Amino acid sequence: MLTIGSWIVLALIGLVLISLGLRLTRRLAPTRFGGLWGAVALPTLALGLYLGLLWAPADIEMGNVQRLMYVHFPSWVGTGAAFLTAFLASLLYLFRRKDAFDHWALAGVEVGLVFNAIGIITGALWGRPTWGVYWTWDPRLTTTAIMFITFAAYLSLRSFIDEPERRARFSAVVAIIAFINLPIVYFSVRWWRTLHQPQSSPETVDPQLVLPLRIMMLAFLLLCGWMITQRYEIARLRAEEDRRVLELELAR
Amino acid sequence: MTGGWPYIVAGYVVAAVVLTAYSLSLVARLRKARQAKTD
Repeated sequence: MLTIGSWIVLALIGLVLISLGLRLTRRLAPTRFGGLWGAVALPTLALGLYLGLLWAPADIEMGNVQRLMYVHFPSWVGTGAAFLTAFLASLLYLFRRKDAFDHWALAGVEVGLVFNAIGIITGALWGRPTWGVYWTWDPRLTTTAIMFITFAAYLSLRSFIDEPERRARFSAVVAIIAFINLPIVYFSVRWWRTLHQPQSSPETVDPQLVLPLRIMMLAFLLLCGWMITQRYEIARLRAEEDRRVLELELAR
Repeated sequence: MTGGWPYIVAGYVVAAVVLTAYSLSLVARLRKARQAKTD
């Protein structure tokens, strides 16, 4: 027998998959797709905050400070989803050379950096009361910092190259190289002895802690989707405007 | 350990500020880009 919380999680996963399917088969425009995710993200976020901060019990060992998990871990889900979008779009750009893929890659990197920054800051705030330090050069923390720096370098590189085709090609290569670090970040807690704990299994965690986490993960994923589609649209419109200005200048 | 609320509040406030600021910047940039197209 499923609980109400499980039904909510299943409904949200269903919505994500159906809308993603409609978008990939081009039955849903990017902005409408993003708008739908954004509209659903806000109530989901409100529900997740209520469950995580008020409804869920405190952790038996860490106490209330464990509630940072409901914002820390979902921010890494957002980071992974956004950088994965950038990686796939960059690969597609190199194969198909369509501007749209470059716009999706740029959107993925920018949004990924926002979630990556939140993950690092909330991790530091969680580290201080549990480990005694805000930051340490632990493999997990170091690889996440490297991930932030390499994707920030992607944005920096774009600002140095004016020619759109060259910029898109070089950026795609950088995004693909930067993405190689993501599996290293994920497995770092298993490969090396780290201060950071390894991934927990939902089977060994109390369901009252799992439900708010799942709701917040879905809320961040929806928010991430909304942000990526908005940023894509901005990139597309700017590229259109640049082309129009260039055509006008050539016509003079 | 039973405390930690200052860290919890700081974490949630930072996340809320960053996400809100970035969302607002997206809305403003999109509006500007659409405006430039219609001009």
